[in-house]
Amino acid sequence: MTKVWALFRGDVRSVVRCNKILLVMIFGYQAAYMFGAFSFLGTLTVVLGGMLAYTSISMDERDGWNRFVLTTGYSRKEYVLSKYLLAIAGTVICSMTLGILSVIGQKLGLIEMENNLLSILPVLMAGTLIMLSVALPLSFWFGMEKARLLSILVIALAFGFVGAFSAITEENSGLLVGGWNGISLMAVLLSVIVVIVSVLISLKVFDRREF
Amino acid sequence: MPDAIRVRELSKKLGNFTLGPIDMTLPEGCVMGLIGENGAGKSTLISLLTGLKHPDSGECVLLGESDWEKVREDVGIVLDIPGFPSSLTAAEIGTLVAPGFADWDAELYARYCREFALPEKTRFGKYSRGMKMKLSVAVALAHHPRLLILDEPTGGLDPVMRDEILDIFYEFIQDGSHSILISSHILSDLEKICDYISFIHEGKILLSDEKDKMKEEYGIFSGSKSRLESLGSAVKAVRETASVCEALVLREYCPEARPATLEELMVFLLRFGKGESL
Repeated sequence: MTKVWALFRGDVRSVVRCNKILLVMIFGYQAAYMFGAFSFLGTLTVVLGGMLAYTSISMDERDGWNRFVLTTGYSRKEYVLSKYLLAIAGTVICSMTLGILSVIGQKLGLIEMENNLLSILPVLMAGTLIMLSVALPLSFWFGMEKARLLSILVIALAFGFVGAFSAITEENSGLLVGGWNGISLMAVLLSVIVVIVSVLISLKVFDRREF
Repeated sequence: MPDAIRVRELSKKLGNFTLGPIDMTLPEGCVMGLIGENGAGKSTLISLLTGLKHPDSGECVLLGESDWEKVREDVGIVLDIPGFPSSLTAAEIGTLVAPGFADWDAELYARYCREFALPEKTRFGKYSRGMKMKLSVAVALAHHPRLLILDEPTGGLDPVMRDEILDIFYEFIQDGSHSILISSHILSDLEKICDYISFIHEGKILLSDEKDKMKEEYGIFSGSKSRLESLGSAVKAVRETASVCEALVLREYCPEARPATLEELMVFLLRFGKGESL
């Protein structure tokens, strides 16, 4: 895991350095959400956070690092795991910041109490991770150039999925299981399973990939 | 001690191109040059040796190990196109690469970066081709490998820096247990440091032997057609023009032939040869 963490740190450095505008956008929309504006874009930032892994893979292919890294001391498995770590970290961090800002916004009376983001945040995170779990193996298999066309379809489906789940969750907010909405719990459990399956598929396909 | 590289019946099909079957041996402590025209299969062979491609058949054994994952830390690699993250500086690349190697020597890496005059604050994406190569060489050497595999390592470098890099490679093999496989178009570089030479053409090894033995064995005949015809199978490749007849021949049967240089061997074998292994 030390090696995976080292690759992850390198990815974070590269992504932050090359995507400052995107990061400003993400946190800008989240701040706007706190003031009750741009609610859809605010929730979209969770997806954008997770997609930084996608951005990182794209940058690696542009630089040739996805090939060159395999001639250094890192294995294909470590490279794949570092991208999943980035995807999960991006999703969780953006979810946490959005959640915190949402609570602050409610406390300050800037956001209506009925607009309870926290009830749909788990579904949002789960939907993002499921979307990435489908997109990442495609990028490891085909490369970003080809995978992005398939990914557009996947992302569109994911937005539909997240939107539907969010609506169902809000309508069924009474179905609480230990404080958690039943639908949210199901979505989170599903996302965990899908991520694990996705990792296994990515490891297999990237192990066979040739450069 | 095992050979540094042992390749047996290695084969790979890529579209219309087939590499192999290839047999090749690099004894430990030696330097082998891989020579071939563009598209001959040099980089494909190096990709197969370094785990970037998977062979269709055959085996390659590096430092006595057939599993690339087990030997990767003992092999330093310089590819034809270095591909570090473009937004990182040399120091940050060192920090990134270091955890991948148990024997990473940060001081040695820093020393090479200073010797190669690599700018500290400039990002890799802004480096010239020569600077990228130098950084790649620094990374390849800084983890104390036992074997170096180099794909055009001096490409894009000025003659002064090429000479310095070759001195570093020469120093690398001095202890007798380190080995190098180097592919290059710059034959003068290979003449300087190689013990063995392999000529590769259209995916096949045409000739692989000790460099000095090759130069002793093969010569360039320049003379009459009738004399050439009398040499029979000692003639390996012929270049005929309107005015002169030149051929690559076995000097054992043609004492008047002058010793061939590496360049002449390459041109005759690859351009005028029959494309068969000698």
